[in-house]
Amino acid sequence: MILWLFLVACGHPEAPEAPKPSYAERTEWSAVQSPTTVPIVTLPAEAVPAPSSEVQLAPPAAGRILRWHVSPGDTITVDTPLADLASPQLTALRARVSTLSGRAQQARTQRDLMQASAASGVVSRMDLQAAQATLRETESELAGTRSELAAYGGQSGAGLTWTSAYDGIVGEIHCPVGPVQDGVSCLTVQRDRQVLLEVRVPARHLAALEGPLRADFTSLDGSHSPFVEVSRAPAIDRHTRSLLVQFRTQDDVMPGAAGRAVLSAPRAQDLFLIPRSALTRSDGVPSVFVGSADAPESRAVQVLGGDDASALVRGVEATDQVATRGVFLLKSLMAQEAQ
Amino acid sequence: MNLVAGLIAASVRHRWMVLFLTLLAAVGGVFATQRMTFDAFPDITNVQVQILTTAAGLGSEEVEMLVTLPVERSLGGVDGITELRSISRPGVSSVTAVFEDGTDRWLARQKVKEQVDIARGEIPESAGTPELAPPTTGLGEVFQFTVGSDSMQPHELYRVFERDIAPRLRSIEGVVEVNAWGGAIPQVDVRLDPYALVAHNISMTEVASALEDAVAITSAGDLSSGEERASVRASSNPETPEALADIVVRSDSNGAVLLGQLGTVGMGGGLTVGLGTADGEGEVIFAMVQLLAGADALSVVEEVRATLPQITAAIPTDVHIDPIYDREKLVGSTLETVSHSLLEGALLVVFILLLLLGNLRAGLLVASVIPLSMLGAFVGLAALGFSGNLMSLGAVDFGLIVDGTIVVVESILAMQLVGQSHRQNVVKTTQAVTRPVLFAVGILILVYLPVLMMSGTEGKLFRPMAVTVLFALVTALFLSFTYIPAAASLLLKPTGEHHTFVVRLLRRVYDPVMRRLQSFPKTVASLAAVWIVVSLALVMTLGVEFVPRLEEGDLVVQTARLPSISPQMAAQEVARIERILGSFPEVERVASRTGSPALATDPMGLEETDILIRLRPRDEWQAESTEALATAMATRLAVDAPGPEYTFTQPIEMRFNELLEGITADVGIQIHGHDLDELLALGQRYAAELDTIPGAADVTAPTVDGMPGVDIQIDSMALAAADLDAAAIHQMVAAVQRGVTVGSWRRGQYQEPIVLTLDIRQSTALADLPIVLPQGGHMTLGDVATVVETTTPAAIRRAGGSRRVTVQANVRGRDLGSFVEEARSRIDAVERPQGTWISWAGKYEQLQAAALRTAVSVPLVLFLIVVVLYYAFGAWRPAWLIFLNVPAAASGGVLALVARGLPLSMSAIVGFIALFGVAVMNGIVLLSRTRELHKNGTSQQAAIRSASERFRPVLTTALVAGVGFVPMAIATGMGAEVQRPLATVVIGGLCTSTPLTLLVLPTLYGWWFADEDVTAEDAPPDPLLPGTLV
Repeated sequence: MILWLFLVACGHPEAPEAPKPSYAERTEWSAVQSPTTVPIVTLPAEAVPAPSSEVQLAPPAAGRILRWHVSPGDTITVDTPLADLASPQLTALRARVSTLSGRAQQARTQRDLMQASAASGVVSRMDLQAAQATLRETESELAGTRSELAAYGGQSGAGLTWTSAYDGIVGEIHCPVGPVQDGVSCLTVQRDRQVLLEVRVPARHLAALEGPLRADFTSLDGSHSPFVEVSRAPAIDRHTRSLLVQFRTQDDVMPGAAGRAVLSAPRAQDLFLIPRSALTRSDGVPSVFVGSADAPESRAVQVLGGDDASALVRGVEATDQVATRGVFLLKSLMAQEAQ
Repeated sequence: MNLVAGLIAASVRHRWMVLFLTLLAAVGGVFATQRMTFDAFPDITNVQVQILTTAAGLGSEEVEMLVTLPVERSLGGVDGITELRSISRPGVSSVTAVFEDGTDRWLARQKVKEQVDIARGEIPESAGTPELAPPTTGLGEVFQFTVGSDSMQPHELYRVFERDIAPRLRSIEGVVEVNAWGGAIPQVDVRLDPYALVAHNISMTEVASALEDAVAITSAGDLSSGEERASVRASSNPETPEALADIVVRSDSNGAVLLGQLGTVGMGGGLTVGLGTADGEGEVIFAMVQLLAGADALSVVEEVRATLPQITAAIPTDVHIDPIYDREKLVGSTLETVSHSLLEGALLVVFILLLLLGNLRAGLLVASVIPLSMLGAFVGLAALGFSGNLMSLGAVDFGLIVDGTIVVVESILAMQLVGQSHRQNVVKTTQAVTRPVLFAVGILILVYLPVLMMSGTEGKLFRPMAVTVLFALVTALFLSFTYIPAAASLLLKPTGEHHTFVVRLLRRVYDPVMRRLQSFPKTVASLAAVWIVVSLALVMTLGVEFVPRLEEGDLVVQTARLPSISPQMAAQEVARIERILGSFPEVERVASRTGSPALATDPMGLEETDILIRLRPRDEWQAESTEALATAMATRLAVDAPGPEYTFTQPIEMRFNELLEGITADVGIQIHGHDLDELLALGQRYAAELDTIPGAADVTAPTVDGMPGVDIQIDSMALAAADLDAAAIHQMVAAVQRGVTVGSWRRGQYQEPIVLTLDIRQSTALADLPIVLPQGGHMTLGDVATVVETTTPAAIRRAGGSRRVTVQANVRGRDLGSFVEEARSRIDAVERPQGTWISWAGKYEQLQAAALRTAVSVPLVLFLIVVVLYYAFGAWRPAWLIFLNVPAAASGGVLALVARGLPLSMSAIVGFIALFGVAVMNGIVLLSRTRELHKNGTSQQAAIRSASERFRPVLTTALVAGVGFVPMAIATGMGAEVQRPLATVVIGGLCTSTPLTLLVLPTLYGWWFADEDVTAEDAPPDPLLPGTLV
């Protein structure tokens, strides 16, 4: 009884208040970003040669390609051997040079004899002039044939080394080793290394891609290059429901390179970039936590695009801080509070 | 009676034979005991068959539609099913068919299996294959361990587990399954870059086809040559992922495109529906050895422990196996507690016998009946299929068992030699006590009948105990009329009315008091009545607990988070909690299982985790109790790991709750229907309605956590315009995360699947996923389908063939019946949408059923006791006088509970039942003699003389019954919490009923039965042998 009275008189000692959990250590916050251009969408892209810079090379003669010395992507200069050819046309030319050489020699001898005879008056002046004309014709024909032969390059025998007449980068090789017709384009040379990046943009994205676009291209081998928009097709392709957009770069990009491109556009005023880790979903809609660790607030946002690291959203303010770590924790605590 | 008399005579006549047969029976009993199974607790699981399907990657609604519904439909007409419920979660379907209690488990499985085989045809291959859960019970998780490695990837670890560890353990007799959380099924991951596919203008279908062709085996049959033959086969089976990457997917004039150009090829792990972690150090495999229903937990665990070192020696050295849960610890500790209580109880009984009988031989002879009767109980338990456990063995009171034996031995010891041979004297003396002993033990057996009639959980818990006591009582009774007289005729020498010092001392106090009280019968009666009424009124102050919580020695923390949590985040968060829990000095190890195991016996979502805490031995603790430790842990977690909801429980308790999956509140309204949103809205309305009813408390409206989802709705017109087929889109969507299996490569006797997935960055919007068009070029998924963000239910529960949500409420300050009646009328008044219906459930059903059973069985048994008493005495009045012992005993039990601060539980109620038996038995022992003596004198004389004569046997039986329970009442070991209320009630009750028997009963008899007094000349000679106590 005494003990009871004592306890009643003293009252129950105050239970020590449990320390409040701190979320500061378990969350990270960062400011929203408002760059001038913002990533919108990632799409397949392919680097193609610019039409004006492309040269199609045909072999100098019909015949048979024995071996290619170059492959796509090789840088070549004038006189770089392209391929070895075996050509019946070359053989015919050589035979003709030989014939014409013989005939020229014969015409020269005839003219010299007639010149000597003309001094003694045995040969008339007209005959001499005729001999000299024959010689000139023959030598002229020989020079033309030799020049034609010289166009095949420095070669001997029946073979021929096809050399480049341009500087540039070997694009596609269209002719496999084997017979080849005269005048058929066998090799594409990109003369000034200019490529265009082609991206087919789905129609549904066009509204968000107004203004000059930028494309951050990542090829399948992992190399990155920035491109800027140069043109858009006049109409949407009905079959693929997309619009062809072309970009140009100053970088050295291989024609034919394929990969993906992140398209960026000038930022609208009410759109901001936030780290992807800040995004969550509350009540079925995308949302972020803004404020601070002590006073987090869930805010619904509209996601309009982004890239690997960032999301482009509408619904936050330029001065907002968003939670980038501990988002799930904040969401859990909010759900507990709601219960 | 003649039969028993003949048995006694024959036993003494052939005493050596009887002793030999007793020995033989004991040896047989020992052998039978070895076939008995042991576990910590009785199994309270109902007869149920679970049908489990793992369909990794499917959402809950798809799981419900593709798997759960066909399985449920197939089980619709199976005979004997009382409940059919299911849960569909992302990746997991679990359908549970509960059969009537008593149904043969194997027959139930057979019936279910036949139907499930039919259902398999309706389930698409990609949605998994339904399988029957292993035939185990709530006590099945007997050994749990983790498999970790410092260097191996999860799929490599899983390979070791599935090839080298699990099969060895599965081969142990009694092990039905070795189930695992975490790791990952090894597979060849072909991760295709969707942009590379576009660049090369190759579709996924083309890649899949190339892979199927590249990894194949073809048999050409046998090639005969002369007299012999040889089988011919062609196979292509790349040896390494690099070799697989070199297969040609397409070859044309532009050259060949190799698989490696389209993506990466490497070994990896399949999607998982569960995770294992341990000690805050990251992912491991959490494995669980499951016991076959009815197998012996103790021997299986012993064999598992013996096998593990052999396994460890055969697996790579950096793979370590660490136990986290070992049932042997619990079973061993519980059986140790039980053995200690039984042994100490037995020794105390012998000591009391020595003290009161003063004869060592007599004491030892009575004591020898204890092990023999226990062997009888073991044989009975084994024959009926019960296991030895805390409940079946822990509540046996040897004092109670040998009460009848004590009366026999005491009478033989006290008999007067009347000139006949010693054997004849033994026979006659034993025959003389046959009737009271039979009645007394009969009453003991009778009082245990309500326990045998219990059903449901309490029945499963306490019936084995009643069976044990009954078998032990019957064995002891049989031995009292066979073995005891036979042995007594050889060993005991009668000492006549010899009283020990203790008895003499007590009688010196007792006799004068008892004589004095005869003068104040009304005062005594009034005081007794007041005492009984006051103490019984204290019942109202007692707390109520259905069954005491069994301490298991280990803890489980269950955590629940939002269902949107990713596996990586889940593993990270669980590791954090493990580190916090591991820092407690009481904790030896912490390991966790998140989500569902490979065979989803426990269908949890990735948001749910069971954290198993292996505790150090109690003497190393700083915390005062498990409860204090759990509170400290909960406080710490709330501060350092906020976010999830924490529930503290224990391994077996948790498993029982999961399997029984009952409604835990007093009243539950189950709302059935098809539209989940509609059900939830109706649930909210019902909850609001219940909340307004007086007495309603803790009203809980149904909630279903939402899980974010992405719904891809294919536009068939757009598909046609693009010349695409839906199959290609489905294949592509499947490859987003789950993957498309395109064959398997062979590694020795195992096969590992080759799975195509798309290498999609986290940031890629699914609508922008490029699709290669058949005629060249590409489109995006968003051009041929609408991609919608949705929220799907994290789990869909069904019962009775429809979706189900539950509203729950407790009732306080009002009787349950009237509350339910009002609630029913109020809820019926709420308009229900068409297609919905409700059913009522909750504890009130159990309580109503239990109350009904008690209302029938207890009065029936009490009436039967009175009838037996009437039959014993041939009159109603003595019967009712003895019956007074019941409230008197109850009053002591209640006071003892109040004094120890224990609540009224089923354990205490069973204690009351035992107590009534002893109290009534003592009344018979006393009043049988009083009635005999009354024939020769006045009621007062008879009362005084009989009380004096029966003082020793009454005191002896009461003391041994009470003292036998003392070790249980004060035990603190594992399992003691169940024994404690029972033992406390018996001891407390005997403390009040014994004085009543010895003081109040004679006083009241002298007063109430004076009208039956006979004159001296009418009196017949005393039929009993002079000096015989009974």
